[in-house]
Amino acid sequence: MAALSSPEKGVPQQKLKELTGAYLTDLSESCGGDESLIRKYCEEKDESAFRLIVSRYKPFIRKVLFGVFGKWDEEAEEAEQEVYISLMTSLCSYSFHAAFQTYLYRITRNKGIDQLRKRHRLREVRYFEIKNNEVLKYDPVHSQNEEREYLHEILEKLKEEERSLLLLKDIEGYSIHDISELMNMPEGTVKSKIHRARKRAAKLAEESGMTGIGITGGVHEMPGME
Amino acid sequence: MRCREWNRIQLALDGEIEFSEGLIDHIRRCRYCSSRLDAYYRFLSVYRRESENPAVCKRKKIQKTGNLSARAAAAVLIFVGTVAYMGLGGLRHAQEGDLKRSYTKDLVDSVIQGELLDEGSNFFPMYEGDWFKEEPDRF
Repeated sequence: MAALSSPEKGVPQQKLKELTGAYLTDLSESCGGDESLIRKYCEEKDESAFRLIVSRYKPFIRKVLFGVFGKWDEEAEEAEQEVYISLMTSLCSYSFHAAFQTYLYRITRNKGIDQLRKRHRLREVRYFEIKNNEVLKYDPVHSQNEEREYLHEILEKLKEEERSLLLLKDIEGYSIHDISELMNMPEGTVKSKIHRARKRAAKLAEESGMTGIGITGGVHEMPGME
Repeated sequence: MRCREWNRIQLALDGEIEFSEGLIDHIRRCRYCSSRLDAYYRFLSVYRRESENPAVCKRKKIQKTGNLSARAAAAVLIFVGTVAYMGLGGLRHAQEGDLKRSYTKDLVDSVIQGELLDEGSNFFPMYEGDWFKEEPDRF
């Protein structure tokens, strides 16, 4: 598989910078790329190299897991720990054939899915409440907490694949081609699945009363409407 | 009521077609499309915000059915054990009470009927039969 970070195909470096945070990328540029850090960790057993890789990709891992779970809870935290453990044990077997981000995305999503399956197996019914008592910022229609509740409800009703696809496409702005590589599925399938996911999400969002921007006011801000 | 144009909006979101002036005008006029698109963008903006800076959710879980039945069985066993223990103890207590009452009743009956006096010293170790014997008239 072609590397995602290659200039011809896949996620451009600029996009990677946006995703992982500019400060981390700057740091990584002075410390070396992913490949050199991985080699440093595996060949010289340099733990600082591993720490740097983790700190570089931590926001990315968390976003992917948020997409898998549809919220950030103890399970997501457990899955995050599993990702780091898996990375620590299997990083040296990484073959460099695929882009490191693709490799990491698959590990992260698989760990998240494993955790979801465990939950399903246990047949646990969960209720969620917001733990942190953050200062509420009210907007004209809904408070952040209300919006969060709506979001959790909607994401709960969507499938894991739909949540992940919408996160990658409409939030992170990946191309269909990139997503097909990340999720290892044909581009046509990705397109049709995103179409269906959007349809469901829009319907659920409308039904849950998640409105308030005002289309006439916000129409110029919509992506794809330049 | 659904709108036919929604599919075109979906295609525009997919990047298949562009958001033309006509389509944007339609969105402004059509309540169905504007409401749905509005809701979808609201959803995306909250999703974006939460994925970047998620609030930690606390979970409360109900035990799985297997565990629940095991727990229920254990609770029932403990309950039955407790009841049985208390029941047996109560029975013993009651039996002792009955015995005591019966003994007292017999004793009282004996005293009333004078049997105790007849049987005298054989019945109570501290009994001094002579105490009840009529003393000869000293006068």
